[in-house]
Amino acid sequence: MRPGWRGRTERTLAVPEHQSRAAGRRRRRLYRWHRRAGVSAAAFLLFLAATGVPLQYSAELQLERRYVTVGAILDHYGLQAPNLALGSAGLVAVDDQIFYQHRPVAQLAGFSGALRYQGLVLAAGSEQVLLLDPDAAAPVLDQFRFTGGLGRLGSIEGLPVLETGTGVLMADAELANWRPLTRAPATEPEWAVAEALSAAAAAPYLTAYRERMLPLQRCLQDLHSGRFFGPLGVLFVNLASAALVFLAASGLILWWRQHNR
Amino acid sequence: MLMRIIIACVLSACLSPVGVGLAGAGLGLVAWAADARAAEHAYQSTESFIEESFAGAVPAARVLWLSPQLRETVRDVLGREPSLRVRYWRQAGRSAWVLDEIGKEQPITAGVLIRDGAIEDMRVLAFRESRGWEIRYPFFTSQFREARLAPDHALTRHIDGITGATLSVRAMDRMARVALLLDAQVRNDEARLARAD
Repeated sequence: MRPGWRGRTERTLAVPEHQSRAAGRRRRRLYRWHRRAGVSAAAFLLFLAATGVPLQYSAELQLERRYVTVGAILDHYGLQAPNLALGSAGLVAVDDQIFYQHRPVAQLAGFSGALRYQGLVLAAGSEQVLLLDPDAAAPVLDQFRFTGGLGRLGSIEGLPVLETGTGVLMADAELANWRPLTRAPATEPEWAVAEALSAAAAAPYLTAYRERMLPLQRCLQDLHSGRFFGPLGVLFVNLASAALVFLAASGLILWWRQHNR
Repeated sequence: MLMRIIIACVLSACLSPVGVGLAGAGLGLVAWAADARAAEHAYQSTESFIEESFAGAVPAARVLWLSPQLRETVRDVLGREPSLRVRYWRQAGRSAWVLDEIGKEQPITAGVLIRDGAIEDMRVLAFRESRGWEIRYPFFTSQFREARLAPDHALTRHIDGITGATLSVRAMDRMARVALLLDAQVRNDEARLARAD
């Protein structure tokens, strides 16, 4: 017989009977709590897996570009669209989102107006001008970025012109280059103006804008962390995490006792 | 032992509101930091890149409209529908391209200078993602120098990735390949026109 085995046997034999009964009661109690924690944590683990696995593949699933459109969830987040929708040359801007026939086609900060040019649309923002083919699968054909801020977009003699911090620029016919307007134009520029839509006309655009405010990824992250349900949700996640720690510890203790029995 | 574990669990539950507060503050700080990083970082303007590329003698911009065949090839490289037209600058066998490509969520703007079908210089002009900005450093961008386009439209040079910037690295790789594809198209068009003349 190995010395270790002999030693354990002797120790076991040396334990008084009342202590042995108390140890048994403790073990049974630990089993009971281990089971309870396991059952409680099972639902939590399923929830964690259901919300966590998609997050692992957020890029592949394009979760950042998919949006939650359920009104109740958007209400829960307190997300409201702005009250103002601006329209010009068939484009409608709500905040920095540009729509064409209710379809989001581009993002442009500080929309100030648009004009049609050779079947395309030029849209001016506070820092850049977009060349759009609103019907194309990729509507943004080109972006012209300017430093120093932009003013109005217009046209002179059929060519687009743009007010910038350094003066008025005129585009060439191909819309490849914008050069300073050095000569005095024969006619006054026709400036593109963005006008506020009526409440009825703006409503579908405001709804479409609101339905693009909450990326699915953000919602899943909040569900995963419990923040979706507020402080109580975070508290619940903390408790459930503590249950998992308890499960691990109690499982180890039970395994250790069984192993040494 | 068991009682100690239970007491520890109860204590942690009782203390959890404090933990929630601290965690909330921590998350707030992290979110604030992420937002701060997500702001656009413009490292160089398009004009400055073009001026530097052509040593001050800036050619006029030209426009390349993508043919259906080229559009399909570019679509295969990008994995999305490409724009129908791209502006570029070309002079004395060199062409410069300024392209936008999304890394994870926001577009990265890169400038690519090509000489005779090989990348001479590639730079990040603007970075808008919250992570992966390390791709702007020369230790990364210099890897693209002398890269050409292989028959399968991959780069002929291996580009080492950066941990934590995988998607930005991939976006740079895609932009380099698209710039080489577009440059090849421009050179082919010019050669065809020269033969026709």
